[in-house]
Amino acid sequence: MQIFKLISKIFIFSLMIAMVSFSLFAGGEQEEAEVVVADYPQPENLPSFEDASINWKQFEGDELAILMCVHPWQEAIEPFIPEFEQLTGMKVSLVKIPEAQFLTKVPADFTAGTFAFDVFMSQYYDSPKYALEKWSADLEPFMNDTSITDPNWYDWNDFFQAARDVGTVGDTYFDRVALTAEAQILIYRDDIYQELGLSVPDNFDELINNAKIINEKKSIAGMTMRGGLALWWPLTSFMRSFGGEYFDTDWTPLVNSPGSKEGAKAYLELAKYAPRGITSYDWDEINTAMLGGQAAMFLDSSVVYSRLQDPEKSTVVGKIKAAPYPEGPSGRIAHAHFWSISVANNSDKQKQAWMFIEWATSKLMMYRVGLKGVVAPRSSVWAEPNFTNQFSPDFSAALSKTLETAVISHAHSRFFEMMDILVGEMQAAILGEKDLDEGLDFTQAEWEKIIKDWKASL
Amino acid sequence: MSTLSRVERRFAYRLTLPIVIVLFCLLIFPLAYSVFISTQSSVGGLEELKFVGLKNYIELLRSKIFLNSIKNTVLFVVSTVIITIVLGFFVALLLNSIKKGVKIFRIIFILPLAIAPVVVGLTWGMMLNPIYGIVNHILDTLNLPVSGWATEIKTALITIILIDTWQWTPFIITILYAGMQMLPKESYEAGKMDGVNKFQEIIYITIPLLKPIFIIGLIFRFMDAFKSFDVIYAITKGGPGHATETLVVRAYLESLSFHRLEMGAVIGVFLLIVTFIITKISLKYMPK
Repeated sequence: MQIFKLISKIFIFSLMIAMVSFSLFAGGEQEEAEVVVADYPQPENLPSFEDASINWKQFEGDELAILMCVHPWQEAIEPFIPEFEQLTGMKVSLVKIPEAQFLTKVPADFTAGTFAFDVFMSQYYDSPKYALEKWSADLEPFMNDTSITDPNWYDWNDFFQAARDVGTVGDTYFDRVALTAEAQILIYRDDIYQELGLSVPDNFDELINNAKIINEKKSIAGMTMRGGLALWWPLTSFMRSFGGEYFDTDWTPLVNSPGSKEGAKAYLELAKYAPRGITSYDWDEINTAMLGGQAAMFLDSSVVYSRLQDPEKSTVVGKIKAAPYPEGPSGRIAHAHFWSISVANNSDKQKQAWMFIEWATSKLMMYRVGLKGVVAPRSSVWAEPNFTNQFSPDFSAALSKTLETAVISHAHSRFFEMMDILVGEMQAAILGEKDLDEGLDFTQAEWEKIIKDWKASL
Repeated sequence: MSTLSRVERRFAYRLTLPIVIVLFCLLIFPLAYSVFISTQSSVGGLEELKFVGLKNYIELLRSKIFLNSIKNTVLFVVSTVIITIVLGFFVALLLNSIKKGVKIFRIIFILPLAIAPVVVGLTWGMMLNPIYGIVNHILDTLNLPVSGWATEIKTALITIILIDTWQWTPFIITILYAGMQMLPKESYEAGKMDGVNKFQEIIYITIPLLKPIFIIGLIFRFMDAFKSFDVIYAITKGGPGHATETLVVRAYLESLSFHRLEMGAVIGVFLLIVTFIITKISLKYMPK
């Protein structure tokens, strides 16, 4: 008995030592940050950093805190950050969070006044709120300050018009620079298509039919799509393709118009062929479903492409092909998206933060990030053969065709509140608990109330 | 009340001053600020609040989604409180009747309480995933019906109730078991002399003697269930289709996702009034 007590005492003691030392050393694994050697196909016609007539090292020694969302863009640019540190002499501390948590953390921290970063990735749907509360800094003075920006080298007009517009969407001051050019395209498992003798769908009926056949004949789900809180993102293009939409330019809700109802019905129909548990699927989950071979088709943002071709992340490398967004009765109207990057207004290092953005969104950096499959919103990058050649012809064709007619949403200060109502009704309809038409009528009534309230308060 | 001299009284006031300041900062001020915010509108920005009186309260009471969250909260709180108390009582009884291995069982039973609610939510969320989760896998292997658990409207609230019950029953087990240890043996001896069977013993002796502990358990469970946020948000974020959206989850969404701090404050004030009333009623039944 005495020996038993002694042994258990020693055991517990050594367990405690192990736990303490583990926690001490677990955080201490700091590898020396290696500067990435320029080991990639050189661009034909893009200026280098030395060509810019600014002093990159003017903020030498300063520290920048950057918050990024886990995203292919972040995955592409992170290895180059040591080069930024060497170029400017600044030190960067980077924090990255998955999308769902990122989108709640940023406004929560700003509301509480505890936002602790100088640079952060941003989504434009929130821009009216961010501008109203002055959470994001006005970037125009920095763009026009020739001591930190070389206007010819940076070349703002090189950005696509739509990408430039994202900076002031919602009629706000210019507070964000677009990082990516994304649009909804169809990505499908070519091996399964070959096996079942399916042809690439060009309209929604063909798409739904293909999904049905795959579901019936194979154990893999025909389609993966969003059914969670962010389902409003892909849903908007379904509605537009059938002649409906969320709002008109005057903010009058149109979500229960005949076209909108048709589009939503198509969404419901397609959702039948998605894996069970669709209401817990948002961006991260549909990515995983495609990467892990759980589903045969994907109709969401094109930015997933770089991950699908990465052997470290994907189990379907080489098995996938891309096609343009299907054409609905009212046209081929996909939802485009531009992630953006902003400076926090409460930062005391706004010029330094701008320098990071200038570097990250420069022609050369967007080209390098583009070489990893993350499409840039700059014309000069699209003109580089190395950039366009790395994409399979089907992907380039799919994306450029879709981008021709893709649209972005309006931004509104009560946008997410309104989307919450729509998402609730759609989820109920997808799960068969509620009639779709009733749900959309209810959404329309609620939205009318909110818009009326908002207009009255202007 | 003992009579203190003036000097002693002044000393007493000075001694209580620190705790009064703390209570003021942590309780009174946030409370007053919440009530203040609930009467404002932040449509013009948080720096330019506009007074709108009781407009927010009226808007909320008319909102179907808000009424839905009241319904969910009532269902959730009542269900989880009843289940944890009944289940906890039975387990405590069992624990009380075994001789060996009591310590080990107590440690095992207390483990769920030791896990952070967010971790509980995320882990159970993974285990209950309809396709990848281990729960459905086991059910399938045993040829039992599988479920969509937290991803379907019909079963989402029940799933959340079960998980919350899983985490909090240990609390009831612990306090009831501790109470049972301190029960007077004389009552049981008297009962044996009157020839009661086991069942009557539980109903007529054990339960009445444990009444104060039951009441404490009830109060704590009510308050906890009302406040429950981490587990629900981590698994469903209030979905699907608002099926698991309780008042607290709604307050969070309104304040931080939809940028309407004032609506969150209204829900907060509402919750405060409800909790106050329930606690008052429960304490009335508490024997002095």
